[in-house]
Amino acid sequence: MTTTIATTPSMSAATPWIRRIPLVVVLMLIPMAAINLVAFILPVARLAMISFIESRSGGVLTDTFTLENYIDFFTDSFSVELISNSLLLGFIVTLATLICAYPIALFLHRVSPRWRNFLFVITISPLLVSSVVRTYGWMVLLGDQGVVNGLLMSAGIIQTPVRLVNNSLGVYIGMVEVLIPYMALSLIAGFGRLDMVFEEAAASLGANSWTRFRRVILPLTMPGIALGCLLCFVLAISSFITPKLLGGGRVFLLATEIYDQAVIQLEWPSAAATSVIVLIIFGLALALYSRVVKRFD
Amino acid sequence: MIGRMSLPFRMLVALLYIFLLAPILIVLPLSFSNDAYLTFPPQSWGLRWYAAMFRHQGLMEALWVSLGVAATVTILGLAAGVPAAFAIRRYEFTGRDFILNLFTAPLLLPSIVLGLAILLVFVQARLLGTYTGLVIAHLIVTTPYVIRIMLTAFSTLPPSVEEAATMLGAPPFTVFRRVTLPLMMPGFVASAALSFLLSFDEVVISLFITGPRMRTLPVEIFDYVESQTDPMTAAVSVVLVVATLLIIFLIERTLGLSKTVGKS
Amino acid sequence: MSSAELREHAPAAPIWDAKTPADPTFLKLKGVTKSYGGGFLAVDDLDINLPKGKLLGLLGPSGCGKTTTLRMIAGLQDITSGTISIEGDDISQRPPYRRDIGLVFQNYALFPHMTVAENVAFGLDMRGVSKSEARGRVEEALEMVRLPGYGARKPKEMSGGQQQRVALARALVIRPRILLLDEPLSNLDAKLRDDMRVEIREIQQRLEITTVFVTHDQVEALTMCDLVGVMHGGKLAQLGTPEDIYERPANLFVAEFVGRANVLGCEIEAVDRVRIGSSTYPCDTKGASSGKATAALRPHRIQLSPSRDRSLVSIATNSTHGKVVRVTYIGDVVQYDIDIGGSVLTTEVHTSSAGHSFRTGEKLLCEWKPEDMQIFKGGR
Repeated sequence: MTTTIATTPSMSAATPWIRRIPLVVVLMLIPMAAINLVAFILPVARLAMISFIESRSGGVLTDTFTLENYIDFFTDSFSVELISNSLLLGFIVTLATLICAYPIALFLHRVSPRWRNFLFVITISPLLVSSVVRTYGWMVLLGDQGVVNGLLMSAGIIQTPVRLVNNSLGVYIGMVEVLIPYMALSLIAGFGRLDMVFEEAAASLGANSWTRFRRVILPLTMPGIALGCLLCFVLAISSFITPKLLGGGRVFLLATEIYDQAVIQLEWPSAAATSVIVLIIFGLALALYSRVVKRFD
Repeated sequence: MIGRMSLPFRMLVALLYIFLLAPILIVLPLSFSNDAYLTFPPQSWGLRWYAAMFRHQGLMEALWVSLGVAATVTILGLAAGVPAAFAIRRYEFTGRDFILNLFTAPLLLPSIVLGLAILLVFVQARLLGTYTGLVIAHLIVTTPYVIRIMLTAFSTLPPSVEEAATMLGAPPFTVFRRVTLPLMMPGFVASAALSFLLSFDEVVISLFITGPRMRTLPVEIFDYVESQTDPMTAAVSVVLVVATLLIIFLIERTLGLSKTVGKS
Repeated sequence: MSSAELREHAPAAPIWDAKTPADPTFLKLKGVTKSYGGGFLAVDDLDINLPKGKLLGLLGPSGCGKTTTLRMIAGLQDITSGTISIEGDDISQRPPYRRDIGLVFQNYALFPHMTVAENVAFGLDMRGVSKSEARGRVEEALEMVRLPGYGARKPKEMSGGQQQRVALARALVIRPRILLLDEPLSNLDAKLRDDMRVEIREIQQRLEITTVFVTHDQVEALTMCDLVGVMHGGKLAQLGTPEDIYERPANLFVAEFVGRANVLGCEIEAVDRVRIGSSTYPCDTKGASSGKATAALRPHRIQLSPSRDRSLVSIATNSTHGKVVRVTYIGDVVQYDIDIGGSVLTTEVHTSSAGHSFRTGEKLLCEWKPEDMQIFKGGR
């Protein structure tokens, strides 16, 4: 007998008597649109506008259009230092986070389901703890009288405390810890394609464990790595709380500069211009990411 | 063996977990210090800093502000985000993708930039240092998550159940109330919990728009940590971490956190 | 389910009060058309008249428009033109929740947050039936589908077949004017499917409920239905009894889609014979006297015998010599592919009845009655 495997053609979800009422749609979207307008569209538009306005001291805004804020930024050697500090922080922290989060993600991917759920929650739970609290924890750990120095001194490895906070090192350590959950989440999402059979196939073809990692696991997990790196880079160069507290006012980055200009110096046009520079770096990182992703697809 | 994890690998992962959790775990012993200054290990033990915390007027006021703002943001965020997600998932209309991208775009903007941008608008609208201003600013942080989670929840709705209810004689609103809404419950709970935590923990945007009269708890702690390092922050941190863990635990117990958050 | 059991579970009074309308047509589809943007016609000018209490099977390959037709009757999709009426009552523009139609979904679509009893009671609740009356009717409906006492369970605690029955009970408890079944058996395993086929048919006949059943499985359509509508490209290729469909296919599509058929290109020589290759065979050409045509011949209608038995062949029988090119053992039948000079005939012989078994390369004689060969105008 001839049998045809028939599947029901998928129907567009909208049911007819519903599709005729666009008014309902409008009503459902209005509250969200209002929030978006007031707290997103208008602010971003105003930020862009103010970055082109002449700056007066004390937060007074004029109506004069000027490119001065941008010219000032790029002619100031301090700005160049800010950008290079931020980019360096972004790159180093992203790389270190990847190195730390990759084993965690791989472990979570392979551990038995019974443990996976629990460890997954443990891995992402720091996300739900205020970054101020976590940074404070690092100040306690890394301070001159902190836990790490205390342990090292009582072990006789060092005689005087090592400077671990109020410098770039402290910021780097704190940032890596803050970003590990984000990186791990991205990696796990990208590990979906990583099936044990590929490794078994590679092993049956004679690949040792290092070769299997390099030739099978790594390429398959590349999309997750790219996504995680983008996310962490973007979060690192715009992070503010951790650099501010662990840097102790001695680490100068774009993000801390925006805050200082806006809240302490009340130089809003300069702060706006710096923000636009940060957004441009964001755009470049995103463009680089999409190129990398295209290569691996 | 393929896929088996060697002992060195397991130890490496254990070390990484210690690194990840160290700053959260270290505050626990420290919070029970009775020392006047931050020393580790503490010279004496006691509840001195917990008591100090409850006596600290600024901190307590900020706590109530934060709780109020977070509760308001949670309710308003769901009220705005759920219908929006429903409309986006269920109806076909021109510009639907654009609307969705627009509503979730604030996720992509660094909060330091968003904070400044909101400051620049709020200063004109006289919303700086107000309850209303805080709520509006936090809503833009939480609603993208609400929409994302609810979209996932709507798309995991079992197929045809709404049509089945319709065929049994239920008009559209009854279908929504009796079938769609109850099946959305996990999404609601996840959205609400995440909204509350995000708002309660929000610090960067709040730093820009809080004034001396109206401060949220994270801002208060931030200022406190920046100016002095005594163990009181540890006590506050422990209370916050325990409260957060309690919420996570309750959600995990009732719904499965990885199910609700992991998918979004 | 035995008839004794049926009687036992049947309520004292019939739950359906059977009206006998003057017009035998109960469900009427007139010129029903569904077009999507771009001029694609999912359903094209469909006319169906279904008498009261009959079970109509809509059979066809995927994308033929059968499910769209069902959903239009249900009101879940709007119709582009035409009318659908029940007992002369035009329901075309009525929203689905006011059509009083029972629909059983392919995936059952039970409400996962409600118990079985709550699922079944949902439609009664919508109709304002009192709680106490609803309780009785729910239990009655669950007994009808042989699930008494299962009311407190949740759907996910039940097997696929049980969920299927709950879905049936839920659709029937509201006493719908018609019942629609959308591929209700496709998610069940083979054994359960056979049982449910019988059970659904028994319930349908007992309640005398006018039913439309969508399926892509011809066995379901032929064995369960009073009428079968074979659909193809949005049109009704043929509407008739299962026997009509199988024995007297209206066109080549039906002949090939329902059951198996050898399809041979032929030339009509006169109203009573066609030529295939170099041989001429008597048959009924349905009035055509010339031109290209296609002959369809069911494999099991071909008799095989060793070639020396030619003398036994009656004049009224078509016959041709052939050579076995492939023997396939299928269990209850053996399939022989036979080269009859240019084309290959597929034939089936029941393993029990065949005194003879043939080997590859063996020469034999194929015979069939002229009326078993269907002639359709036009070449392939």
